[in-house]
Amino acid sequence: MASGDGHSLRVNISVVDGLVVLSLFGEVDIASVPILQEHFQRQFAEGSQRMIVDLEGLDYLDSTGLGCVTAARRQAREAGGDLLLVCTRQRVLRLFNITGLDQVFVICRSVAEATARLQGNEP
Amino acid sequence: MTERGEVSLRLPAEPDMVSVARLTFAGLASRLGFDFDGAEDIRTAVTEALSLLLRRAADGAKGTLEVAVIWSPQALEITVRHRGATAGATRDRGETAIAVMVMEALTDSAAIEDWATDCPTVRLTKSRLGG
Repeated sequence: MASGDGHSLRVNISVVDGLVVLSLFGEVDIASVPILQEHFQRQFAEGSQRMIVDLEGLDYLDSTGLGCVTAARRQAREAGGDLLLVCTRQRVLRLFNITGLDQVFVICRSVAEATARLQGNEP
Repeated sequence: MTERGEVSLRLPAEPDMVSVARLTFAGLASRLGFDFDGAEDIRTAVTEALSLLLRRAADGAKGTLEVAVIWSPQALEITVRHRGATAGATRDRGETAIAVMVMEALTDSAAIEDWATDCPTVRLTKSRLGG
């Protein structure tokens, strides 16, 4: 369950077709968001500029998590890359809809779709 | 459960305590007859209120988080306070605006009071009529 010190967020890192995929499991809130920030900063420090964040394993995401992902997207784009999301969970998508962030992020239905988009194989 | 009543919870003002409140009030909402979506709305709104208050606080600030819920056949009135709060330097990345937007969308009313005091408060109301 926990990534590190007892928080209910786990982050799996994988590489798909040369792109970094962060898969989130559990809950992102004010207690666990430092774990996610640390993962993003590690990826940027290692030179990753194009990444996919898979939210399919998330049970809960709050405004702190939205802010974190939005900041990471901004950082990726400023470095010439991008950050795409994968999510079909209605409860999580609802927060993006309420805040209008669904118009900011590219939200894909699968990692394969996000990978194709980032590699320019799909409009 | 009774038609009218109240529950209150006091917690140390620490981020780890937010999930405790989230679970508690999701369970209460369910007991009060809210459907899954209604209970989710309440637990999300309470989480946003608590996170808003904790983000405002200075690093290392102490104090107590209080969540009080009063219900009637018509509505739930939720009051979330941070007693003994000390305001810190803002590290906001837009989360405050997002939190307010979310609370307003998921409840019938959301108001922030006494923001500049040592007891900032968020008041939420959620109708029980129509689930």
